[in-house]
Amino acid sequence: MLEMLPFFLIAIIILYAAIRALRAEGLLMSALWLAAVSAAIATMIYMLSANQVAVIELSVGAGLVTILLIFAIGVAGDEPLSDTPVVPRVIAGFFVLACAAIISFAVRPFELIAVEGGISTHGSIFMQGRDIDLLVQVVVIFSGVLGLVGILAEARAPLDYPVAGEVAARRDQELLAMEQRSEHIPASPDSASKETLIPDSPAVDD
Amino acid sequence: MIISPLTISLLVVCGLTGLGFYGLLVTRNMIKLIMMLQIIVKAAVLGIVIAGQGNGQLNLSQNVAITIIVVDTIVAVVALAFAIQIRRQMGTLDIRELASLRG
Amino acid sequence: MIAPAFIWMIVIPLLGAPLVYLVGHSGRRFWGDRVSRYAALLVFGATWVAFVRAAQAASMEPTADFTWGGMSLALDGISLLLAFVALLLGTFVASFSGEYITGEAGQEKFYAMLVAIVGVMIGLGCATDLFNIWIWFEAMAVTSYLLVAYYHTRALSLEAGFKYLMQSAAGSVLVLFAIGIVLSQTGTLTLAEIRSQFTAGAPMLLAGVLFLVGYGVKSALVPLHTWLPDAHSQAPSGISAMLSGVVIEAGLVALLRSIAPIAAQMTFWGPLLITCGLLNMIGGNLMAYAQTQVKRMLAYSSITHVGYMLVGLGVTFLLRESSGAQGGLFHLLNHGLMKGLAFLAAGALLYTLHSASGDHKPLMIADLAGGARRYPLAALCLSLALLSLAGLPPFAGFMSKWLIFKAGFASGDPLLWIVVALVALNSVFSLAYYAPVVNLLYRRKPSKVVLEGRPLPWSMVTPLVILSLAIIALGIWPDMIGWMTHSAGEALVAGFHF
Repeated sequence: MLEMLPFFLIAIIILYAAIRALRAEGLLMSALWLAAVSAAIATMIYMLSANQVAVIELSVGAGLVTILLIFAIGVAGDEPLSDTPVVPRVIAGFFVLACAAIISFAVRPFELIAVEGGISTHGSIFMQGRDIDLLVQVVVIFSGVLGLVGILAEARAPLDYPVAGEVAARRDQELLAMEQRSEHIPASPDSASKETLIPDSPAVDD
Repeated sequence: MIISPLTISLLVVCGLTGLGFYGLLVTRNMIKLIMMLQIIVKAAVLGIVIAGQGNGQLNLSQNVAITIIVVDTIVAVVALAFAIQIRRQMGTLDIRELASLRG
Repeated sequence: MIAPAFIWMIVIPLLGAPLVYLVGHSGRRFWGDRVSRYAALLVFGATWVAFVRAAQAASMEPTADFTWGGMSLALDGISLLLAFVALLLGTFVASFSGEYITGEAGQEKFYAMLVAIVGVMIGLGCATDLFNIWIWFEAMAVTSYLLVAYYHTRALSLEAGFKYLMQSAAGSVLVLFAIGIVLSQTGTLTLAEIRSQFTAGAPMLLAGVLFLVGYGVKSALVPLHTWLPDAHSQAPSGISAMLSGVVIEAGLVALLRSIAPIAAQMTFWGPLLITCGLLNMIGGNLMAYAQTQVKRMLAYSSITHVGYMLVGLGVTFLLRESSGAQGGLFHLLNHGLMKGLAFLAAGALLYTLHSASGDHKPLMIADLAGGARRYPLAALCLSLALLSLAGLPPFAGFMSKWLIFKAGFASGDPLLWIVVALVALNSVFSLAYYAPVVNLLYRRKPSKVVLEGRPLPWSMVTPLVILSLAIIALGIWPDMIGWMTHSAGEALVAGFHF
């Protein structure tokens, strides 16, 4: 029974951290508690002797994802939304409990696993026998990165006649700079002349 | 019921999944929704490792679990990109503001 | 070791996608934005060559497989059918979208993703391993997120994209739990081995249900469909055609492949699938009837058509003979063509009536009034697509629905007769929302929007005309494609190994 103690401890840590991640007020705290969940899960996976998964979970799940989350929170900003939840809490809780009841009925005496108590430890070679999975992962990463770039891209004008467009853009910039200079040099430009200057500039790029 | 490392881990999987789905249902902040999704995915990874360990197929389940971690990180990245872009365009992270498409 | 022909069908688009992106990205300085479209069409052309060779090989030897490093991909009837639909729609969408997305930034990403999603779907059809199916499926999902939210500066399409992503991701996690249960019960993930290791019991039942719910999100089973009308109506029209025509069907194929080994041992999966199908039909019809926007109406009608396919497939799961699945899979092919045509035609009208003049308004059904007088070809194609979707006789939609009816009636089971009668009633009911659109198109007095519309470019009309001819041809000579649907149905039955 004593060798179960670390498992109990880790299990309690995981669930506690998950509850804190759910209930934390700020997004940043939530992200940090999520990292704690991830690190604790990595420990548990390590104790189940799946060493490679533990390493990847620790570095990707606890490390990379947390960094990305913090980065995203930094860009998007936190927004305290403490009002009423989307689905009333009671209904959501009841729904989840009902699902859990059905699931635990299905796997009733935990016959899901042929429990022998012991944990096998045998080495494994990275991605051995799963080569096609590895290749499709590359496809997923490609699509994901392209998706990230595509979704975050700033809106920009398309270039139908690209070289001409670039030249026009450069000329626009120079004109704008000249305009600003000419605004600065005369000490008292009356407002009427300014107004005539500005409508002129878009006509240039035709 | 035998108390063994695997059953304890299995209880963790059940607990995390329940928490995660509860979070998905009640949360309004988009970035937090993504975190809740990550919690469920972590539970799934743990579940796959347990399944492999219980069946003597640890090697297979390790490879599967690693793939899941990588793929779901990519999904989280794309989701975060959506959240940032929605914040930029609409000025909010509240999922309830996203209700203009109906019917 | 020499790779069989079908491997090239997967490899060419997947390698082609980064190339399209690179060519489009670096070439747009010299040749403008259209270069990425030509590159995409070139890749599709090369894939067609591979497809024809694979089909030739398949006509001699119905299954081919390719093993590499302990995993294998296999071509059978279902994969060939899925590959055909995906490739066909991909080609048409690429040639259609040229004018449609002119003026949008990031076209090279659009075409690269379009090529990638076709390759990924072909790969999904060929997967033989439970987890491999999941990862192809996830690759397809990740690829489609950007395509749905292609107008990434518009609030509505971002909203649709985020909803789509969250629901689809939650669904795919459920599939992971199901895979975990199967792994713990059988110790293997290869479909053929699961079948032999199988012990029926509550855990496997739970796994099957989780598969149904998880993949059901993507194939829009009725309580899980809420993302679909948003995503399909907000995406660029070409992508709506793609999503509706093959992506949800690819989800259906993933579902079938995953539950076939489980269903082989349990009889109740047939009735369950039929019930889901009926729910989809009735729900989809009722919601489509209430729509005022053309693209949302078409999106809801996709839900109905998934219902028809599910009934056909459910009959096969129940009776364990291929006739129902032949009808269902033939309907999959026809629905790809019909819904593709409908979305492309609606997209062409949306483009000329709204987008070309710079507003982002949706195309309302009322806008179409009198459209036939100004855009006779586009209106004709849209009407043909709608009438075929409703299942009127000379078109393709009728033939596949007829096969499903026939399979149900041949069983001699009175309960199945009721099901078939319900299918027929739903088919008739769907005329209630298709017919007014056709009627409106041929009204004498054009609406204000139509009068102000721009002329329709030829590059948009040509794909429409070709697809309409295909629909008529399939309706008159269904045997033309019969060999493919026949072998697909047989492949599904072979998936059970009775």
